[in-house]
Amino acid sequence: MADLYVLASIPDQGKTTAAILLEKQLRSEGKRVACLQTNKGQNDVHRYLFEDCYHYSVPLEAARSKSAFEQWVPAGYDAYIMEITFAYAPLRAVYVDLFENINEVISYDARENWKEYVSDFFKQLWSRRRHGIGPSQDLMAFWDRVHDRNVQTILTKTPAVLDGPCVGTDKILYHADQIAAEPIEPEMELPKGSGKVIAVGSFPAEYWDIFPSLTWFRFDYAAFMERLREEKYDIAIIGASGADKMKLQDRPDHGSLICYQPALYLDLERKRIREPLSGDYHTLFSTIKQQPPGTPLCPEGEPFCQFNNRFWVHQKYVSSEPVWRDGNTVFCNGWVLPQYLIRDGFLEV
Amino acid sequence: MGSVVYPPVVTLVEPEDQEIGDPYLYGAERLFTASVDQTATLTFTLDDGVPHAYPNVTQASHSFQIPLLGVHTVRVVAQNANGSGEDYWTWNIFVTPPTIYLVDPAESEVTDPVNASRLFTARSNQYAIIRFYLDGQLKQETPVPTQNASYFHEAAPLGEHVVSVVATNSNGSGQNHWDWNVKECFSEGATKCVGYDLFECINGRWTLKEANAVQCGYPASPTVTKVSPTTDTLGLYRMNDNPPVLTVQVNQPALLTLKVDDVVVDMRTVAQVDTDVTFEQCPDFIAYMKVASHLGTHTVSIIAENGNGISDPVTWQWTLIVGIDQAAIEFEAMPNYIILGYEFEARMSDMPFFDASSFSSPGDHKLLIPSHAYTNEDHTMKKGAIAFHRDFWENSVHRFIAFTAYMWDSDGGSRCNEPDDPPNPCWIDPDGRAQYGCMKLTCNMTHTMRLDLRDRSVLKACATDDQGVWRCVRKLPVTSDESIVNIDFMSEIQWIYGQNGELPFPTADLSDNEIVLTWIRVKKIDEPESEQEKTLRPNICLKLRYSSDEYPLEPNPYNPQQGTFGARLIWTRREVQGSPGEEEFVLNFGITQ
Repeated sequence: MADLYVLASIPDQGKTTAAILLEKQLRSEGKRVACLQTNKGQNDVHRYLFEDCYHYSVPLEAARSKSAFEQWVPAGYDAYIMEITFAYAPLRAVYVDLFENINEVISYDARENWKEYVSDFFKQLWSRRRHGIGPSQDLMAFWDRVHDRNVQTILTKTPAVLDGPCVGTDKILYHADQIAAEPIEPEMELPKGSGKVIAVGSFPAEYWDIFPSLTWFRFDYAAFMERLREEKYDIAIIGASGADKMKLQDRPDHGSLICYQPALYLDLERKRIREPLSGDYHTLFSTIKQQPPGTPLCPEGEPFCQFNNRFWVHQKYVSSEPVWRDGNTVFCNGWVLPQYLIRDGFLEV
Repeated sequence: MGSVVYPPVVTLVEPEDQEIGDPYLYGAERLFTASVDQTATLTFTLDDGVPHAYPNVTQASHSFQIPLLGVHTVRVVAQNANGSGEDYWTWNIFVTPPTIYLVDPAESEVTDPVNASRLFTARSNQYAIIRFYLDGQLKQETPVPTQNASYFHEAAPLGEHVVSVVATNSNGSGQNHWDWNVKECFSEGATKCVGYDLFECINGRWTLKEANAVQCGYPASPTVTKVSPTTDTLGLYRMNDNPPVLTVQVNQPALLTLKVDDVVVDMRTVAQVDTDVTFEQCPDFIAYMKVASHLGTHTVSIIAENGNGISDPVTWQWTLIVGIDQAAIEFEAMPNYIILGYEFEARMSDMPFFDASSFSSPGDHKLLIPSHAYTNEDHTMKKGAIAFHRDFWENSVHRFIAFTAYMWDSDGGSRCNEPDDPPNPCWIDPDGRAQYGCMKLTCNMTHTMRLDLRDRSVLKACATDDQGVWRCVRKLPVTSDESIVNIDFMSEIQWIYGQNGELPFPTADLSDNEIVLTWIRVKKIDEPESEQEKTLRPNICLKLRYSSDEYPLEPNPYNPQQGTFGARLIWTRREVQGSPGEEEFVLNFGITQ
């Protein structure tokens, strides 16, 4: 059995900071620590990698049950930290629902009227969307469900050290020993490969487990390309970045290329949401929990339709498949984990 | 929430195209400009050369010297704390084939006289084999690569040629050319004679313009010129008209031939040059006009012919139409009389309108007009007539079965009566249809008719019916001061000559067609008012028109209306029985050949 520290909240509460501080604390205690995230991927992974953390993404299909979850968590670590953003939204509440013990990360200023703060946050978030809020879309539908377990509050951005677990404005984690832990039995074993691998941008860090010799160029795309022109690699992984307009002119003539930002090479149409959600959150929740992975979550054109694909990954662009091959290049329209690519024959180890 | 990383993105500004090409040119440079979407260090690198960095910029430019032949890469990298991005130009440096310049002549248009010699000199900007071609045929090539070469052509061939020059080496070929125009003559339009033949300078060649040209001493053909008529058309001529009178001159003694189309109708030998020669009354032309098949439009031409040749014809367009015969006699009031009306008896038994062949088409030209009453001296202002109208109804081909009265106004239109005047109907036609505005007059009857201004506002044409009752057959409004100034009797016939030029109908016995002018209603100017209007015998108050007052009833030979043609009108006078001194005028109509 190992300890899983679930940190649930909404954005901008200092959750990732708390997770990384907790990781350092646990590591300093001599523990091997793995950081988990829901399958949201590219926005955050670099923060963990910059801190030399072990990082893993847990796909949506893992939220179907705790045993399914344990199959997507790598074995061999003493402790696991899982960050769950948008914890009260349906595609994240399905994860929270797996656990008896969670931690709710709340910034110091929001602590007194936290529920109202969360409610306002979601209202503002959805009101910014042109398609609006659906008639049956109760933004706080899972509030009670999320809180219907042992919930430990972690206050962040605190001006002083408080009694419970907290992160001060000094970026120090206090009373970490009071952070709630969930016992889990991770079962995932990733294959090990000996190939020469090079990567740039945001990419699933599982590759680093599979290919320990992987060289990451952070976001230096130019240096990465230059190296790729100079040396032969078995696999080159081009991760995503915010530079939507960046184009790369050439592809390596050797090895294979896995590209997580297809727009670097292709002109693709952005996937657009045009209609409000016609269903409700509970139906979405039960679809994920009960239907086979890949079952469409909602009609096309509605919120969450980006996940209507066989991996339930968020697709930024319009494409018939989330993964396709073009010559020696595998394009991934979404955060498709290497486990899926190996399973479907796109990646050989 | 984690922050998305935005590495800098490079954009190629100038050149805008990613793939560029330049010819190799030693020492030349090209400027490259790139921009970046956030402040960064922009580094330009040519192939594996030294990087040229521009720190903290959003745009930078860098020049590179044109590298050696081949494909090169100019890479631009933008680097800052957010990461890096790159883009690059593919720079193709290629060789240029030799360029060859025209040295002498320097202009590409060269003109030479035929058989002149010509030296062509060209220069290549690179060492090359230089070849000269004349109209695509190789004429000369240099044995070794060189930059300067000449080609000498001994005798320039007539015509338009192309001398091309090609410089070839391992870099390719360059080409240039002269347009070589070799001419026999240089003054376009100039002429010259070779023997009797006239040549003209056209496109630099002496081109035969005219064989046996007069200009070259060859004897000229005669020329005929029109004197009269000078027009192109002669107009319409009737079959019984005289042929047109044609006057020409000829500039050489010659035989003149007058033709209608291809038919020669007269010939005349002319010895006197530049003097009027008139063709008139040519018997063959007259005979030509009597042939029915010749009706229509023809070309009349005159040509002159002699030992020097045949002239161009002078021509006229000429149209032959059906013949017409007309004869008339006219009376007017004696001094001091004003004619208000007159009465006559008409007996028509053997009219010239004999059968359908007399007419160009049935219903046309079919009037016999025994009498007009003119209310104006001007015949074009004539008003009113009694006319016999040829009727083609059944059995009418050989006989007249009916005549009707006719009347016309000065506007040329004929007028009909209103249906109620005379009381309707005036007669019933053979099909039983009621006929208005006309009156049936039969040919074998003697009709009494009159034209008069009885109420001074209407000119009425009247005739007695078979019961002897006067009926109005036509009427025309007149103004109150109009009176009859002229009484006119006439016959008119139009016809086509038969095959042999004969009239198409037999002559008639004039005694069978007779009009007797019996009474004239007049006003005497110097009589008292109550006795002004009276009815008198014609010999008392009429005179022949144009005759003298002294001999009022003697025909005037100058009166053109008293016909001399085939259709005749003969008039006589006879004393009215039982009334000494009173005369009736008798007019007989008919055709005499």
